[in-house]
Amino acid sequence: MARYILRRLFWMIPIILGVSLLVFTLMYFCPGDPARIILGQGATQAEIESLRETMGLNKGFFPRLGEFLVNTFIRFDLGSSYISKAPIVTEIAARLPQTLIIATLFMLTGVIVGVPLGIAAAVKQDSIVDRICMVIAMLGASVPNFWLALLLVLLFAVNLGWLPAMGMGGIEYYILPTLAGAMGCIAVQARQSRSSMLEVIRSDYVTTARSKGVSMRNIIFKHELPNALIPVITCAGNDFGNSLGGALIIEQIFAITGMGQYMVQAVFNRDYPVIQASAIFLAIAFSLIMLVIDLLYAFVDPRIKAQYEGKPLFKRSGKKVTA
Amino acid sequence: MKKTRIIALTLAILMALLVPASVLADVRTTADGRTQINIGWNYAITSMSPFQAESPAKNLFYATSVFETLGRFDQEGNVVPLLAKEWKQIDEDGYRFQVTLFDNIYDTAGNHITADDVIFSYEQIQASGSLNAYYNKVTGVEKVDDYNLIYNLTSNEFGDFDMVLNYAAVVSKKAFEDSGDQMATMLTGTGPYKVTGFVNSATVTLEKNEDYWQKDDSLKGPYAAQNVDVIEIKCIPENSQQEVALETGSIDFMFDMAASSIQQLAGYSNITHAIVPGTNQYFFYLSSAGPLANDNLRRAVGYAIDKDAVNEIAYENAMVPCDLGMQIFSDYNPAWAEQDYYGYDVQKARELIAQENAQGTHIRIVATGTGVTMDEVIQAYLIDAGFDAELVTEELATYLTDATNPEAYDIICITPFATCNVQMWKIMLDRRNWENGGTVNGFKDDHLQELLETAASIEGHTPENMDALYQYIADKNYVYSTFGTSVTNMWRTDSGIVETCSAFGALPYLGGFTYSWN
Repeated sequence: MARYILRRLFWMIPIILGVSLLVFTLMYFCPGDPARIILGQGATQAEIESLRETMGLNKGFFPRLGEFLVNTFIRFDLGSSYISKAPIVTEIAARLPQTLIIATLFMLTGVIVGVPLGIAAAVKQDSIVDRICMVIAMLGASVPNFWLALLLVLLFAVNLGWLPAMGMGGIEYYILPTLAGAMGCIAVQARQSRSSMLEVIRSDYVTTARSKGVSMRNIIFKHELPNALIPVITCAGNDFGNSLGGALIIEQIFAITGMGQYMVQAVFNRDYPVIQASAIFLAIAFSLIMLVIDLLYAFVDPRIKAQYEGKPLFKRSGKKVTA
Repeated sequence: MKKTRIIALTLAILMALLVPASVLADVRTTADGRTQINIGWNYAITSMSPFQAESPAKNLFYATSVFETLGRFDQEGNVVPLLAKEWKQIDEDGYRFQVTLFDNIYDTAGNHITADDVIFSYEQIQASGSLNAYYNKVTGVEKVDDYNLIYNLTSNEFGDFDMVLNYAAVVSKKAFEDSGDQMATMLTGTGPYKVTGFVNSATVTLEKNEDYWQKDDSLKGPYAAQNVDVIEIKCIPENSQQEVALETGSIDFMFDMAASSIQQLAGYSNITHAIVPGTNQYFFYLSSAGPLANDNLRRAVGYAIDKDAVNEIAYENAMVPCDLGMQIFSDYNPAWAEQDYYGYDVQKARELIAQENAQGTHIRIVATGTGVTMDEVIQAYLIDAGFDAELVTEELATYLTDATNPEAYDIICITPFATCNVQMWKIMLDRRNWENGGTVNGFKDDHLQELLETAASIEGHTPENMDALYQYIADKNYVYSTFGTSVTNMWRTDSGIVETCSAFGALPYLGGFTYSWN
């Protein structure tokens, strides 16, 4: 297992290099000039050219690429934002905890609420329970999160005054953003877990367990759920990864200092160092998330664990059978 | 009976919770009894660096005078002393100026500010490149002694040195180096307020600088007033949340709200607003590369647009319709306001188009962001006049690139920033500024250039020369002016704010407001 983990970590290097190269190339050829944005609408040509010279934007593709790769991967210097002049590491460090909190809350809410909904829907298939769960899931998938966020603010902050409308602080500041942002995750988890459970419910070993008189509770939690967890884990991982950079709307509405707004604003401003650093950050984050997901698969399913370890699944009368 | 009591109690609790928080708002004080005001700022403050790119975020520290400049514009557009006690031209041609600093300037860390710090700040500005628009005329700064410097300029035109005095921060070299991150997370300035708290993109806390170096009240303008002890600033980029924050009382004053918020919050008797004119002006560049190279068609564009209607529809009358000049600038001629600057006359527009046999001529309007609504209305007017007007929207970066390429548009709206009218016109029309050898939109006009250079020079900056330049630009209509920008500020009347005050350029002087406790 350790070798598997090391191998995966090693493969992250070309992935991150590839992402960096791709993002750099895209931004190089993308129209728009950061010097113009910095200087504003009334800047003259001479001022723009002077700033481009200062910023090194007049250099060719390969010199700039070489500089970027050396600074990032050898000197580990992500540079400073063109706009704010602040070191990018400082800015990411200020935003990352908030983003991790939001992403974790979205994922956990999706799992804690969505999975039981899916289980209930699967166990009571075609009943009123199933219908209600799937309507909730459909609403969660259909309702735009920005609309829901504003409605929640109107109800709980403005009219009732129970919760703060925006900002960061104690746990009360995260309730409304989580409710608004996690609806999509709940919907996905509910539908996915229902689908997985329905597949497992029809399995022979579940029928056997039922016929042996095993209690429903034990059937669900000891036999069905572990086998249905693989897609659920995948969805949870995807939700977490997407929330790292994709919670822009929630961040904007609730004035949360997160990575989503930071990255999008950098794209609008053509703040190349920030875009490149953010892309690297996302590449690393997603790679690690995928690794954790794969390790969780191994934890849940011994067959997968055996695959990773390269061990034989089982021995049959002297013959080694490997996965 | 018990059930009834429970229900009644539950209802009573619910009713209590439904009482709007605004009713419960009070004049704010901190825990130790100091006065406090909560301000909403509509941009995320990601860095406090005084040398970052010009931005609405950075403007906060200018408005609250956390960092100070050599001089500061007063409401009439004249530069008055701030860190510089005085300045004077020391050569005949106006390329060299000597600046004398006050000798008692200290920042909030106790560092004494001298000429070395001014030169250091200038070097930082040069290195960052972000203030080129103000500093590109400065070739060097020489130290004479601890409190005297000489600025060498490449230009001796009207308004150029004023920009240098007014917009560049001066900070202590020692404080800047000690910060370790270019003051991104803690700004140490010389101003009447100091930063005591900063959460990136969320909040900034300012407190009155009890040791503010300027003790002479006669030299303190509204930018140096300290009428409140603590200013808590919350970054609220989302417009609907700005309204919610005002409604619930979590902020007392919101800077630069959308004009539509006036209508949204009209029902609240304890929320009021003011529209403050800015120093930017909306100009439409009419391209030389297409059909608008024709003089009559450009004039037709001017007559085709009803500016009052555009202001009403797109901006809810929040903008300031204007002619070619900004009235708040010191070189504005009041006679211009009496003249007809392309008053709405669709018949005349149609006649001009017919004269050129140009009915149905295709023109491309390029728009971005919040200007799209305005451009949609203008498109409708141009179609009504007889053009085949197409509206194309672009994101900001592409838009700014296209604004200097006449091939990419027929009409594009830009808001250049300047501190006097001749400077505004120079930015757009002076061929020395543009690679194409003509105006920004590609017109090569020697007579225009001659008029510009004459009016821009210090000795030539007379009302007569300015008028001649104005009339020519208006007649040719290379650039068409619609509105002066404005800022809509809203605040709660129960917050302690009695009267607001703003800088030249609409930034609010938060310490200079009049409060109920003053």
